[in-house]
Amino acid sequence: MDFQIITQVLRDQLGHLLMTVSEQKDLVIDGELTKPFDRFAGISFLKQHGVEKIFKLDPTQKVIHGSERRIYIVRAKMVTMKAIADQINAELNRGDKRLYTIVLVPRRLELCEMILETEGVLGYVTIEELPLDLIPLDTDLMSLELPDFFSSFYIDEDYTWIHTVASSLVNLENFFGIIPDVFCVGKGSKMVYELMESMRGLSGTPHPADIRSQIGQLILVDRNVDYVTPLCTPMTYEALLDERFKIECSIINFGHEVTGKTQDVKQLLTSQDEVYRVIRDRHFSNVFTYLSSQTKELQTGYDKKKDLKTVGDMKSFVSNDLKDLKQQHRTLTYHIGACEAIMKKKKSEDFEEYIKAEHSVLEGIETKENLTYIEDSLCRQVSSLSPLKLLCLLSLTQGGLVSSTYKSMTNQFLQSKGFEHMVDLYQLKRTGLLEEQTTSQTPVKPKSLPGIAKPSQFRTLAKKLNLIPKSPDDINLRSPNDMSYVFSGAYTPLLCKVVEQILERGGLAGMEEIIKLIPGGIIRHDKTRPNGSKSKSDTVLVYFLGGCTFSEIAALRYLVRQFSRKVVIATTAIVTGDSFLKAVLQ
Amino acid sequence: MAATRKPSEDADDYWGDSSARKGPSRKNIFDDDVSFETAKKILTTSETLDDEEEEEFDLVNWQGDPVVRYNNHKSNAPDLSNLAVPITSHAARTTTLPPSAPSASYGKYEKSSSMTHNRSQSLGGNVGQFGVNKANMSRGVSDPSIEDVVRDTSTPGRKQPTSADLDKLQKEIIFLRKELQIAKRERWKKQPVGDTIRNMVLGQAYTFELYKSKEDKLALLDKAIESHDGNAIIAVILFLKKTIKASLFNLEMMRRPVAINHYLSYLKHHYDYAQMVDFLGMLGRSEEASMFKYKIACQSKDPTIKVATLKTCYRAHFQPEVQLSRQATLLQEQIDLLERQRPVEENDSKAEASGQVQIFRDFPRRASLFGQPVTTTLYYFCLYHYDLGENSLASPQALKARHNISDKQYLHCALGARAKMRRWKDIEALLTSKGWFGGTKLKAVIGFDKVSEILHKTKAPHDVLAKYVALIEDLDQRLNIARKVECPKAVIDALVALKDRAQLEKYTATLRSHEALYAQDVLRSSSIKWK
Repeated sequence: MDFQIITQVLRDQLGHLLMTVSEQKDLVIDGELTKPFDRFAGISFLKQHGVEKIFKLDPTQKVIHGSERRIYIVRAKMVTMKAIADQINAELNRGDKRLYTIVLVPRRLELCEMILETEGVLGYVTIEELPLDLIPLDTDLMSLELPDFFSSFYIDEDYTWIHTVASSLVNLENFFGIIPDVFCVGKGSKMVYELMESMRGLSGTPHPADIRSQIGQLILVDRNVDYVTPLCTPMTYEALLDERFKIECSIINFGHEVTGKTQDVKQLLTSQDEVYRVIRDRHFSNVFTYLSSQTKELQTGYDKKKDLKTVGDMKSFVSNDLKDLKQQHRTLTYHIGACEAIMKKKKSEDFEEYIKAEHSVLEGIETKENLTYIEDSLCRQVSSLSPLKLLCLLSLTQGGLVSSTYKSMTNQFLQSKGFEHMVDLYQLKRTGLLEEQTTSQTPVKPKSLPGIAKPSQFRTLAKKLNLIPKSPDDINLRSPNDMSYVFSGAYTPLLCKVVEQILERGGLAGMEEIIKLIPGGIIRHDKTRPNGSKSKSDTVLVYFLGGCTFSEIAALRYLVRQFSRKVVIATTAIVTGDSFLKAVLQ
Repeated sequence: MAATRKPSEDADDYWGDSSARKGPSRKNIFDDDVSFETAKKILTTSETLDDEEEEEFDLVNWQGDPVVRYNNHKSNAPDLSNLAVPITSHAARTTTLPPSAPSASYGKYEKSSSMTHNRSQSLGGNVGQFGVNKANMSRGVSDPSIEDVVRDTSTPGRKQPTSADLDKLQKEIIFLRKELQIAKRERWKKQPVGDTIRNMVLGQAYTFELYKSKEDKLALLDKAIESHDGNAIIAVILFLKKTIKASLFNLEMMRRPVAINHYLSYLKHHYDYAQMVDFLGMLGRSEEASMFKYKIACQSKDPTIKVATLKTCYRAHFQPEVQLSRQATLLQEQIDLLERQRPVEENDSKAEASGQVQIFRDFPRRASLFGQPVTTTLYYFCLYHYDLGENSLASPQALKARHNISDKQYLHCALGARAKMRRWKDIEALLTSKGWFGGTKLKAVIGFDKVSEILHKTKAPHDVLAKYVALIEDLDQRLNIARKVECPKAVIDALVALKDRAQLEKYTATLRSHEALYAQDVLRSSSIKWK
């Protein structure tokens, strides 16, 4: 599967859209879209297509001065439409003459048009849409870069973005052939599949049956099946980088702390960076050794210059080797700098104590000590979200906190953080992340989002699927022998484990009990022709609804190697513990 | 009209004109859009009504037109003519193009136009309608484009269309008229709800106008819900809301939880908070409504207003709800806290500003006290008002009592604050408790390891630190903490307590100055029995 074609088509589509306004024009782009755009169309591409100035959409800015043609490229959101309408109205009032095109990403929404209509600007605006859905981030990774999916779908239960996921899959099928075998894990996944089915049939795009699909299996998974994973502390290098520096569209911003330079350095983190490819999924404890060995090798590379005899040798050294060496040198410097920065931060946060608490929470032991640890963190008013994460983990793994504990912990939480965080507690309760165990007398709430609720559920699942290794010491962190290496052997990401089971069993046979424990269940739609199974592509696409973590990505990469399969991971967004929790708290 | 006719006219007038014409006088609008010649032709060759003419232009794929219809939605002119274009796929439309249409230039933008599809075109409309968008024009309409007439003020003296052009147009009109007949026939035919929803899912044009019966509307809603497309769902909901009375709307919504969620999500993101709260109340989701009200009440910054809004919120949304009794208690606590903070803040900020009060000069306040959490407030009180009696507002003890602050939390704050003030006597008093037989004993609910860490953070002198490190009972832990808080004296003492001479010798080698001397003294001492 070559994603090049996706990038190319995106460029073409954008190019066409820009050329619908043939004159020179200004571009106003949604802040959310700048990074994705960087990945498939750079500034020069925009300039080639007649873009004069580029602005970032700033709702506080009432008027933009510029040329008489303007194109807005924005995510389809009501609040953004309002901001644009305000700008247009302000400019009209000034007597500016200007023509506007609004390009909605990924598609036109009724509500957006409604806003423009009610604001009275529809008459000055041409609306277009840019079906920018999955953005290829690496050879095996794509993202919608739509972090809003989580709160919109799982909290507001609004299905608007389900359409985006479904159409992104239909688009993929247009490029790579119909995916014959689909597994849906969770409720949202089923909706996506059904919508995808009806779109497939209706979009009118012919799918010659004889085109061999390049994707053999699709496994759609819902984030709300497993809230434990995003709350666990990451241990692999890439996940830690994301947590510490934030990776956006595979681009990372290294500051002074890492580079020693005054200006920030943007670095693209993909498998094309050889050093990065090797270390990204390693357990952190195993990264530094590699970097130092590479550094030594680099030294030998530089030392070659001492042996240069002829002018020709020198020439070739300078023109070939030296450039590579310099490049490698720079990359190594950044990674070493980043490692140091991560270590420093972790040390300042009493990392070891926290990990100890987290691991015993997962294991379900030393509850009293863990509560004391959380209390202590609240007393100290640690600024991070970590006490809350631990509290949620405790609740998720125990199926809610016993009433007295819940009351006492939440009281202390509010004293430490402020009473207004009552709203947070309410949100956590709604999503099932932090609950009070209900006694049998009070009726169970009619509706709460699944999560891994009920007392036994997490434990039962953990036991049935062996999510928590019996002796973590057996997990080799240097050359991993189990997926749980991504959390130092304390936990196996549930969704990855489900993928493993499906791949191992070649289906759902024998998984009945597990399916019952998964909120929303698992179903399979297998359209492989009986004789066609052999020719089925060995590529499996795993699509996360509501976001996945780099820990899960690492685990899946490890997993498919064991089955000698290929994996492509698609997600609505890549999340960290903090971004996940913040989305829940809104 | 004026605008289309006088190409050199100032663009300001153009805008003024055209927007003025957006009103109910639908009749004239079309004239504005069509190139002068075309319009004249149409008017002379046919009796067709304005709205029919729009259809013709749909068929030429003139991007602008269907929009007019869209807008007509609102104006009650009966020219809602969506049926002609909407469903036809892009490919189909190209084939219906009259021979004169410049299919080549159309093809050039094929991709993007198939992307935006009919409905999109319909909306882009008004601009195109006024003949402004060059690219749009190049897609569909062949000849003297209005846009050239209207926009190209730079080239005023354009030449008139040739007779061949007019001929072409003539043919086009005949063709279009035929198409129009077909469209006319289909025009008032109601589409099955499934088709309409399908069109919405695929991003194609559709209309709700023809669904007049409640049954049709509800069928439409159910079909939308079935489709799992949020965009379709909310569009139908808002259509329903506009066209049936509130009590019916509410009743039908209550039967459809999915619709409820979408409607609530819409209200929230549309900032219709009052309606949202009402709707939640109607649904019996009072906790959600109350929390939402509360969230908004918390946002006010002004102290007086904030306290007042929170009080109103308490009375209206929390006090009456039995199942919110715990939250009500907490909210009452919050109000009490704010009412305690407000006068203290006023006094202290005045005192600080006056520059007369030593303590504020030595330790300037970092932020306003108002709105800070209980813990922060306690720390603040311990810092600036430690010695106040319990009947004073700013007394740490009073705060502790009102908010049931745990002893642990109290000790944390008090230690931190007093250490910051370098009041080691206070700290000793804090940690002293009466023993069983009248004597005193040093005790810490949080353990002396935590005490040492807090003191370390406030950069307490080594002799103070060493004193409390020495109280850690577990010897290994004592050594660990001593090392962690970087207090050589404590490390030495801990090693002595462990009777580990080898370690001590090794450690001494790393020391300098008086700490080294202290270590050497210890090593020389004969009273210690080393391991």
